[in-house]
Amino acid sequence: MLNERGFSLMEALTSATISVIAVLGLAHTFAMGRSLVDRYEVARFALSEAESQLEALTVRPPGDPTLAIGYTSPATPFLYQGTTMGSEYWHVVAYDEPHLPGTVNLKRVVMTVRWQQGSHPDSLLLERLWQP
Amino acid sequence: MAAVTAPRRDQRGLTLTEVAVVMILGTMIMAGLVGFYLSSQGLWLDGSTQAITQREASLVASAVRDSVRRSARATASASPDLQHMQLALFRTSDEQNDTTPYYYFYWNSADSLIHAGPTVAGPGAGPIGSSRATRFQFDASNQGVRMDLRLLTATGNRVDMGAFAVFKN
Repeated sequence: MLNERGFSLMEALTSATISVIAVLGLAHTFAMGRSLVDRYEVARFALSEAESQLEALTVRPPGDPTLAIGYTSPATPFLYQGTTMGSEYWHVVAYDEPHLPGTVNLKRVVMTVRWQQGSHPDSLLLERLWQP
Repeated sequence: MAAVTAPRRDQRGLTLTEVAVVMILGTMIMAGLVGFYLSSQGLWLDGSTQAITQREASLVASAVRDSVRRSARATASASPDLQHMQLALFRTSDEQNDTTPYYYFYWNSADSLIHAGPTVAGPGAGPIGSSRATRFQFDASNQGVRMDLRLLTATGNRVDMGAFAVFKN
């Protein structure tokens, strides 16, 4: 004797709804993964830009006022593929290296890049220690 | 003698309309599933090739930066054109006696890839990565080199990268 009751309409609709939610969730993870790749693309460029800016600062003379402790540079546009994504600037703070004599024995130059991608704000900080 | 009675079954079967409705619904569901599979596969392919190209752009920037720091001077030439330049690195700043570059970065028109090595298209030279470059430009000064790079992913998306490095040799 076989059970020939089958499925009711409510059962079929419930299972279909659960399946649709599962598929939509899966699709959302794919889209999220792709947007993270895009986000990381700009972040990589921002890191390279910060490295380049810090590298460019190394050719300035030691007594340059833009490398004095307490200095904050004016913000300049951060461009990616010809579009202004945000801004970048650096500031200089005193740094105490405990293994060196004195309290302010090094300078810490902090390069900051801030940008907005869609509705998502992002930022990156890269630091390098300088001899005063 | 006991009578043998077979279980009673409904032998009415399915009408053509019922079969047609089931087949149409099945086709719609299968089309949706196949569409979802293809689009997700395309998204995955696009994302992974983009990630690979981003990594290669960082690799090229890092390689140029490291090589420039080991050098004392460089010359950038529009070879083969202004969009695709060649960087020649020298160990010393003596332009009179040190006339032979010890390392090159260049764009190879045969495969559109970035190549590097102690010679141009000779022994020891080869491609860095597998992403085609549509822009490979340099600006060399007496203090350092600025690089501007644009790579294409396998699906045709652009990835830009820039780098500046100072001569430290």
